[in-house]
Amino acid sequence: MMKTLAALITIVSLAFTTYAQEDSTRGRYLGLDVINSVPTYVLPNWYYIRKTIVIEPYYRFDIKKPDASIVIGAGFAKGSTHQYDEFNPSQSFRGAYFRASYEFKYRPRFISVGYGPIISFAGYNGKFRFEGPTFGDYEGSFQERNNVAIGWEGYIAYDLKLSRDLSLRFLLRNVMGRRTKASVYVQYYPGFGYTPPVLNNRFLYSGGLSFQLYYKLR
Amino acid sequence: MKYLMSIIPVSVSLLLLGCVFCGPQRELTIVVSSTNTFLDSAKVDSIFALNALDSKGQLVSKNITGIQEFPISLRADSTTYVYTYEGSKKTADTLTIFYEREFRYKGDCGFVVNANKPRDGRTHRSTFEKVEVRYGTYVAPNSWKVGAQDTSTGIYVEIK
Repeated sequence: MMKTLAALITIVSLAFTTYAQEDSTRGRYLGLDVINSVPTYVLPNWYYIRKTIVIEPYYRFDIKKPDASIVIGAGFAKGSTHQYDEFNPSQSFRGAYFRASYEFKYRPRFISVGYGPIISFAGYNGKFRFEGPTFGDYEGSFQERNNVAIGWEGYIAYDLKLSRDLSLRFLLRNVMGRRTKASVYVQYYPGFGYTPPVLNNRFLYSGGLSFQLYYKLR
Repeated sequence: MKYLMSIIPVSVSLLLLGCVFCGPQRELTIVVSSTNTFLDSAKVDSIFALNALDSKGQLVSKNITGIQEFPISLRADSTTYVYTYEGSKKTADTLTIFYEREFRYKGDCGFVVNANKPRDGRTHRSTFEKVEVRYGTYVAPNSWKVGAQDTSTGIYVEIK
């Protein structure tokens, strides 16, 4: 827990030192990603998570260095995964996460490239079932609290200008991390996403596409 | 080099899979062997399990051989079997085996189930005079050796 706290303090202080460089003439933006939730409600039987609330607010500001900015993001996710088979019924999860990234514009391709740390706090519960043809199935449950994961994220983003103040950002991300306490395999880790069951479930690796709406502050 | 880097993780995980023992991730079974001369001579009509699902209780009918494999319940810490006879003075025998279920998470397996020796030391209750129960694990520890064998044996019951 001390390690986690140290990492969190590092991220926050990093954000504040860069914040100090900011002045009002540079661009500042507020962003929001709620689109992550949409497929979980529209296609609950086809998507890997169902009925999941994912809210991710962002704050982005340009720094002194030309074409560079800092993004600070928070996130909250609550929902459940899809049932894969009899032996791996669905899991419920709830988590909060924080990320910070350094980002620069790559002008020739009209894209931005960013990277930075992410920390996620999550809790889980779920069921498991053992088949019992003679005496009946056994159904058990498990619960995990205070699961912490620390990771590093890299992304490329494309900003589509919608109006003078609004822009839509398409973002392709890749993230890898490590859970400080790994026990039960989790089908979805808040802030990371779907992650394959390898290496004793300690490492997280995920990637995906997201859409964020940004509003330019004046 | 790029190709090599992508092959390494795959082969490492294959090696890991080869030496991970998960045990049966479903209803467990015990092995019951009999050296009891009465069981040999008596005409066993059938062997029933108590508390089984409808129509699943009859495990064996007629012609019992020396070694049987019976399922144990994952919903209780004991399972009782009833032996019924035909053409004998004795009409039935019962055999109850005690164990302690253990459900836990094992990396690379998921949830696994084991049946351990009860902490109070009570292994069985039976109308058979001499019964011996030996407890072996159902979930063997992982091994890093290449070609390692699964050493799980489970519960072994001997009716003497």
